[in-house]
Amino acid sequence: MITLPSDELLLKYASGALDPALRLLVERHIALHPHTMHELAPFEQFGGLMLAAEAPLPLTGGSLDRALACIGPPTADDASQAAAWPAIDALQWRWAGPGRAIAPIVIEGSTMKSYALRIAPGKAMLQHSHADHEWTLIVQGSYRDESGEYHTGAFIEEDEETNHRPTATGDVDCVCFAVMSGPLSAPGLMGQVAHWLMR
Amino acid sequence: MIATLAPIFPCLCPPVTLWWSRARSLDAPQQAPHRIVMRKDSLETEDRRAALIRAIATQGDRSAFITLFDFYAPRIKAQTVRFGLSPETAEDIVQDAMLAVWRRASQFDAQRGSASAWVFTIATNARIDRLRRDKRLSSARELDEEVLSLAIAPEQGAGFDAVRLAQHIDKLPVEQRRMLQLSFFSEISHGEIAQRLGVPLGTVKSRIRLALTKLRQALRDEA
Repeated sequence: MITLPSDELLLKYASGALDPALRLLVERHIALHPHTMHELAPFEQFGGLMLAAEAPLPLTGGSLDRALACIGPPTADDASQAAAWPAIDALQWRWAGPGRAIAPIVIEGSTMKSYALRIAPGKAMLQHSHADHEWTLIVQGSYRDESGEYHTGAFIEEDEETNHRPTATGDVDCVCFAVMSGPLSAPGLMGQVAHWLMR
Repeated sequence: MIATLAPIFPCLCPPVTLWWSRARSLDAPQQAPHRIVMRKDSLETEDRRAALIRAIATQGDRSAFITLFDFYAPRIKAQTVRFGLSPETAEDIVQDAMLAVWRRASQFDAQRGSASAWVFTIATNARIDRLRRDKRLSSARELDEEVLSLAIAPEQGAGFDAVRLAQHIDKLPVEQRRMLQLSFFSEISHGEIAQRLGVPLGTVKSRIRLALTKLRQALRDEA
């Protein structure tokens, strides 16, 4: 299955009030699963309604003139230079057990912890739970856990109640990008190693 | 209160009705006779803005740009300040956003949403871009108490119509609205909202979920 970001996340994405790492994660999800744009649209509409309803705040003098001085013939596009997740192969992968690798990711401006996970087909990730929240995006392959099988593009939100052990399915490595708002806790030595690797 | 009286005294809420027309299916008089019946010009106004954007795209129409600037620029500034940035930074973001409106006008697709929703996403991106470029600015800063008081008790803040709009949508209870606005305008988490409002975390989660579900139901048709 391909699960989508929650409404709360989409609302914050629409309003721009998301942590930069989470924002990128949602952006990447939408790139993999454009259908989510339909889910996002109502929240953008809401933002538009809020904008049109604002009490106007007067601008300083000359604001319109400055804008007029800058506009020329319309150009095709000048989309902004958005920050991006690094390519999978460009990551600094570290061994995290047989068939498993982990790579820390630094997202500028983010207050959360971001990392990538790579699991070989048939291998399982460590059994772990979450002290706070974790958002995961499958960017390649698929995995299965107690709640079902998740495919490329799936956006998974986990909280302190989740305790799972995803196993990679399919023929290719399963690669996930994850953003975490609290420390991950895994029992046993391997958990501690994983914890150390993620610092 | 004003909103409730509006059907009786339509003059009490002139600007609000303008763009609510797109939610016409929600305001179908036969289903909700107590709600505001849209004025005829309301649809035309949001449509008119869409036409102005197209005039920029097809003819590079500068006078269309000036009309849009007059309407949107002061509102983008107001909304940006509500998101916790200074009026000076907000002016810069207004410039970025309005230039993007000019340059990307050809990407506007009225089938996908209203003109205001499109401008809203452009202004949002302009804000994020500026936050990325200028490391001294932070979107995560504590909300200004004044901004917050408007955001959580808007009935006291002149001109903030979003709550009236929310009432129009589905008569959201005050608590749900507060939480929704906190969620919309700030990066703070559910846990922090719970702390701030002095209610259990579970309550915040369920109320926001409820408000969002209602919001989604109300706006789905528009999108």
